[in-house]
Amino acid sequence: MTDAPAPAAPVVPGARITSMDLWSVFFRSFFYQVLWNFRRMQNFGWLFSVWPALRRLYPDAESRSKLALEHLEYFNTHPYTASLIMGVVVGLEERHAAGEPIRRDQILAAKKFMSGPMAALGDTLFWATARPLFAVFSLSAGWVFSARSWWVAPALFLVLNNLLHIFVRGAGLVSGYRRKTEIVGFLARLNLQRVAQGAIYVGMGISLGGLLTLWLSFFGGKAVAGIFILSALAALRWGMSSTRLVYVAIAVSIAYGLVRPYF
Amino acid sequence: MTETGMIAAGFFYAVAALDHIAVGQFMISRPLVVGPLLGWYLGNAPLGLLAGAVVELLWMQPIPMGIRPVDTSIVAALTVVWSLTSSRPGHAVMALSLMLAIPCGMVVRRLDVWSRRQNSRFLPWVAKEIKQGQEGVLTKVVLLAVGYLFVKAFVLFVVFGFAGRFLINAVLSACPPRLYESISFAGRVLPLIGFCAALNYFYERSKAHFSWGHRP
Repeated sequence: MTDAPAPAAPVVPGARITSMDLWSVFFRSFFYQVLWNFRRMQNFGWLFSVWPALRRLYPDAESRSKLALEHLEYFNTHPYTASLIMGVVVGLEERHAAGEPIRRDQILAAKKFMSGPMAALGDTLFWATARPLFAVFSLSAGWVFSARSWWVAPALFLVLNNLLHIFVRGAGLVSGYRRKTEIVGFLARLNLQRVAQGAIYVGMGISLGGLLTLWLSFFGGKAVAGIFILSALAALRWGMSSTRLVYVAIAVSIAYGLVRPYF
Repeated sequence: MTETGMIAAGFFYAVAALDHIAVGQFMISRPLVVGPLLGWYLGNAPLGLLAGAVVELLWMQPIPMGIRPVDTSIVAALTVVWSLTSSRPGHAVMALSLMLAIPCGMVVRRLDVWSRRQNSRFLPWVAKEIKQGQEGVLTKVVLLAVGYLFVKAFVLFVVFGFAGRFLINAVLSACPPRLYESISFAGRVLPLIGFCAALNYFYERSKAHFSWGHRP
């Protein structure tokens, strides 16, 4: 005998998520952070995104509004990897609506327990690794071309970021929906940690190359520029913020410019 | 630049600002994109790219919200607009503009945090409407928020844009040639400082723990 309680919402025989519903969830997920708030973080965006699936699975408005309130609880993760959790939850909701022994608390627990690791994965992989790497790569590639090809750097930056971004959103939603909670094991096997570590070293190499190239092409005081570079690196290593560094660098440059004629 | 030009630039910035957190996050709002595009609109894309690149490199911190002190999108946008609409466009004005744009970026960040506090106020209303079966409230509240964010970004950009342009032109007209040359040197040093910040960022990350899962 199964100990699963009866589903909270009325069972809808044959209620299935269509590919149109998944497309709808996908497009709505681009508005995921529009009403980010300090009390429940991304709860509005979450409900707004999964709404087409809930509407399909629960045609009865009363039971749907109860479920909607459950999905309006606290939720916070990375905006790109959120679609993966959406896929998992939509898949579980589908099974729940079809009368399979999936409890409401299991669905909500899956949503809750995946949010933390997915946030860490997204922050580390996208914000901390891919975006900075694509920025220095695009800039360096852009400077290889002439000044007339100013568009190369921003275009390359946008293309690289969005290829990854849209792929992760789309593929995350579909594979989350198909694999349900097994997606966690699948992600662990991808060993993304090592990929991110490698990318960081590539970013460091490109930054060093860009810095040396700029310094070598600096006209009017290479030695002084070299001192500026070493001082800036030392200041950053000692924990000076970028904001403060800008003001200090400008102040020192002005002071240098003013005293230079006397030497 | 005419008043209409500033308003058109404000319109472009407001569209890009929506991308920052609220809609899509396609990276259109990043300094590396906003800078050259505004520069192209104002007739000097390479200087726009330079200003955008400096801001992008200086602030590579991971998360576009939370503890981050400045809004880099508006810092880049204002730096480019002021640099290119002043009486003497060039490296010196870029350095001056960046100095003035950073406090504006801090103000925008504070307002952003304030807006998110206000977003919590929608919660009881939305929950009540959903309970009563008014499901259209979700779309309504999302559209309302998009509209608010657009208007906020547009108004802030136009106000800062006009005020800063006036201030920078006043400083430039009172600036002696030797001081101007010194500030110009500062403008040429800034890209180097940007790459130093990027190098330091990657170095720090290489030492950091990647802690989301299994560690071998």
